Amino acid sequence: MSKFQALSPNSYGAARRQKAAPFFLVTGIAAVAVTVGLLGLGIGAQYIPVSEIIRVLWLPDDSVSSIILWELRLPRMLIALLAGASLAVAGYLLQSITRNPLASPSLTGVTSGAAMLVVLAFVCLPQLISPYYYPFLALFGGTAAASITLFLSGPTLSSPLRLALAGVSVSFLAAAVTTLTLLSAGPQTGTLLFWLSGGLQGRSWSQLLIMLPWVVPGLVCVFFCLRPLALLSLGDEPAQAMGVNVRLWRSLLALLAICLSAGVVAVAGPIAFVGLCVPHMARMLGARTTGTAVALSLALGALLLVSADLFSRTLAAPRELPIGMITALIGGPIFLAIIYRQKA
Amino acid sequence: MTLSMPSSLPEATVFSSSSPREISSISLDNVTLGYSRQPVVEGLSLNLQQGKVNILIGPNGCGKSTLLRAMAGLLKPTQGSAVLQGKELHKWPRRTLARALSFLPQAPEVPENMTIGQLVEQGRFAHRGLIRALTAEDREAVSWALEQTGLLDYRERSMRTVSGGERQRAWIATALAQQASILLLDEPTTYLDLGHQLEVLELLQELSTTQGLTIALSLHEINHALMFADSLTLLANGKLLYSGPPQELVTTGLIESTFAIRGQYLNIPGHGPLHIATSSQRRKNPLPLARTA
Repeated sequence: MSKFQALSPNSYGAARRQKAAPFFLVTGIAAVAVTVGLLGLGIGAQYIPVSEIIRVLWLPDDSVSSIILWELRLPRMLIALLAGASLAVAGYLLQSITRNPLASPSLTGVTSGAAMLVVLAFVCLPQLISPYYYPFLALFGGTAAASITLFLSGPTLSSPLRLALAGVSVSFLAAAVTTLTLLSAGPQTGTLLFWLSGGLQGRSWSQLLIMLPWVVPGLVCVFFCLRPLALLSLGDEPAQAMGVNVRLWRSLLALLAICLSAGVVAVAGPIAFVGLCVPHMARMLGARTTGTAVALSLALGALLLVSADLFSRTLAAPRELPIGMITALIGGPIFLAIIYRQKA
Repeated sequence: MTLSMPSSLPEATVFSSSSPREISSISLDNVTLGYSRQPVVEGLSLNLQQGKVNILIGPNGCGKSTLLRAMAGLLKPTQGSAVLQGKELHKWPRRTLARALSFLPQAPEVPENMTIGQLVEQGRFAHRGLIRALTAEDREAVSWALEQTGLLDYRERSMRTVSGGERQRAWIATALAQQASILLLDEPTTYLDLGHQLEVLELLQELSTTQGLTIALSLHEINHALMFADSLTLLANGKLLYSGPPQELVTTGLIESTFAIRGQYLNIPGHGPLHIATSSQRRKNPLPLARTA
C-alpha cells in the first residue's frame, strides 16, 4: 500500500482534546440547566430570595415560601428538566433510526396520537381510568400513530417530504378525533383544553410520579443501545452486515422513543419542537459520537424546556403563556432552517 | 480468533486454531432470488472457493449485487438454499453471522460527523456487543485494518471531509476490522482512481493468500477480474454462464457475447490474456472512426 503523509503530526494531542471537550460541554450545559431551574424557583407570584430557597430546600418548614417551593415550584422544575430531556432524546432516536432530519415525536404523529387516546379515555371512561394509566394510553396511541406514519413514509423512511406529509396527515386525523371528543365532553372541556395546550402549570409531585417510571428507565436504556443506534445511522445494510438485527433494533428503539414521549405527553400535554430541534442543535455543536450526541441532546433538552417554562410563567405574569408557544418560537426558525438547507 | 499485524508474523497462519476456517465457505444451491415477484436470479448454484478470490462479473442488472446480498444473508432465497457451515444463512443470528462474514454494500451512506477511526471501530460491534469496552484486541484489529488500507494517518479525519476514494477505503477498513473469514464486497473499486483500484485488489489478493480469507466481490472492469480472480463467475440475466478459472473463460468467447463487445486478447507476461475491447456489437452501423472531408 502506498504511504500517505501524516497530516497533523500532533494528531494524538488533538484527539485527546476532542475527547475531553464533549464531556465538559455536556456537564456545562447540564449545570446551566440545573442553575436556571434553581434560580427559577425564586421567581413567580411570590418572589423568594436565594438565601431563603437554600434554607427551605435544606430544611423544609411550615413557612409560605417552603410550601410554595416544595409543593409547586420544585416538582414543576423537575418535570421541566425531565420532560425536556426525554423529548429531545426521543427526537434523536427517531431521527437516527429513520435517518430522517424531520423525524420527531410531534412530526411522526406520536404526540397527537397519544393525546387523542388520553382525551378519549378522559371523556368516555372518566371513572375507570386513573391518571397513572395515562402513559399506557399515550403509549398505545403514540405507537399506533407512529406505525401509520412510518408505514406511509415509504420503505426507506428517509424521505423527509414523505415523512412530513404522512406525519402531518396522521396528526390532523388524530387532532380531528380529539376535537370531536372535546365537543362532546361537556363540563370537562376546560380541563382538557388546558392540558391539550401543553404546559406545566399546576403540575406537582403526583404528575412527576406518573412520568418517572416511563422516562427514567427510558433514558437509562438509551445509553445501553448506543452501538446499535450508531450502526443504524450508517444505513440498514451496513448495520445488518455488521451484526445488528435491523428490524428488531429499529422497532425497539422506536418503542423506546415512544415510551419517552408517552410519559411526557401524559403529564405535560403535547409540547412541540423540542424533539425536533434539540438533536440538530446537538449535531451543530459538533457531537462526534452517538454517546455524545445523546448526552448533549439530553442536557440541551432539559435546558430548553426549563428555560421555556421560566419564560412562560414570567413574560406575561401574572398570566401564564403556553409553553408550546415558547418552544415554537425557539424551534420554528430552526425548523425552517432545516427545510431551507434540505432544498439547497 | 486473532488477526495480528502482518509485520509481526512472517506469513500465513494468522488465524488461531479455533478459527472456523476449515468449513467457512458459502454455497448456493439452486437459488431463486427476487425483490418482489420478478426473480432477479433464477435457479443458480455456486460454491465460493474457500481461501480464494472469487470475482463476479456481468452486464448491468445481471444480478451480481443480488447474489452478493443473498450470500451476505440479507436476502432470503425464494427457492433453493444459501448455506454457511451447514446452516441456512437467514437462520443465523446476525451478530454470529457478522463474525463469520462481513459484507460491504455498494456506495454506503456517508455517516455524518463520524471520523474514519470511529467508523472502523463500528466494525467491532460483532465482537463487542452492547456493553463491552474496546479491548487491546479490538484496538489492534482497528489499527491493522487502517494500516492495510493506508488510512493510519487519517484516523481523526471526518468522513465528510475526505475524498471519495478515502471514504471507500474507510468502508473497506470497517469490513476488515470485523475480522470475519469471509469477505463479500459489492463493487469495492467504484469511486476509486485506477491506482487505488489496483491497490484495493492487491490488498484483497494478499488477504486471501496470507490470511486464508475467502473473498467474493463484483467488478465492472473485466481485465481486473481476469488478473485477480482465482475463480471467475460470469452472470447474465440472472443466469450463471461460466464459473471457473479465468484462463479458461477467455477461450470460450463468452465475454464478447455477454457484454456485446468486439475486441482482442493480448497476452501480458505474468498476467495471462487480457481483453482489449475495440467496439460494441449493439450498434448496427458504428460511425466511421475518422471521416475526412
